[in-house]
Amino acid sequence: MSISRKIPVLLKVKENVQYANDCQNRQECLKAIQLILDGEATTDQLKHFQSHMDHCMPCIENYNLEVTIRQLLCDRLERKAVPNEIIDSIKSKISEIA
Amino acid sequence: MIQSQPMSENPVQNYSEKEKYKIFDDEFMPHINSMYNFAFRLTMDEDDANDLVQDTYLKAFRFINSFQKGTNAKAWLFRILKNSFINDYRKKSKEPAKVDYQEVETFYNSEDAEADNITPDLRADSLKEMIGDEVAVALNSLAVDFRTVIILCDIEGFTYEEMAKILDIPIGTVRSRLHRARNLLKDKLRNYAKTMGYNDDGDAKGIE
Repeated sequence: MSISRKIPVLLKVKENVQYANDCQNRQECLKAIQLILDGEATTDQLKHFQSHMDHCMPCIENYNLEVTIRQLLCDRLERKAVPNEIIDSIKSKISEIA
Repeated sequence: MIQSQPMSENPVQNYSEKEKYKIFDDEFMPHINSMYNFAFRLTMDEDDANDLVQDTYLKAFRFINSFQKGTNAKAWLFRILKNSFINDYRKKSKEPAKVDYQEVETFYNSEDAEADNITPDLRADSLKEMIGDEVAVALNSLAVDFRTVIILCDIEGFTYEEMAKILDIPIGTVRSRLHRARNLLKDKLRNYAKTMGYNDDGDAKGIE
């Protein structure tokens, strides 16, 4: 069954980049990460955060964790199909209402 | 019954019988599987989910004149389902009676400072092998209000604005509840990772 959500890809750690191992603003960054993944960040937030995240290891890890959890929820959680009897029953009942 | 009235900012329409069926078939029915899964995640019971979906679609048909053709049918339907759940099912579900939204919000916000100091020790790697049932257990263990925002946002892909309408809460509350819900879900996932023998460095301990 299809899911409406499009999940972004995981960020890759590059070999030739010097990453910061500590983030001064971890909680605020996590909120920003969620806004970005939810498609709710403003252009400014997006720009500001992207330049920060290119060099911040804790934020890259947090971003990848958020993406992974979304993948779990969308790909692993069972999607059920509604039983056909329910569809038939709804259709027959609305024809009685009309 | 005021809560059952779907989004009311739209002018009341006056559809012909034929139009009603067309809207119902073309705009409402395509969402029935999403609705069913939402109902199942809320009630955690197949029979209740069947009844809830059926009740919702019958209500949607009765109130079809307050739906404006071509607008966001999915959000409109989800809102009716959520209201039906609160009014008719929540009482009898196995959930701890009724969760007071404000109480929940206040409680968790008061934990903010403390929670914020905890270094997240959950790594993406430690979740790789998780199977669907385990994900479901983690999600189902959240209070229904927190479970709901995760389903609406992360699974169904609703925007914050749509969620605010579906849940009848301000956008700021959507944002904070979602943030809180995700932290709680991470706690559950962290417990899972621990019981599976993943240590804090994210390395799996092999079974000897």
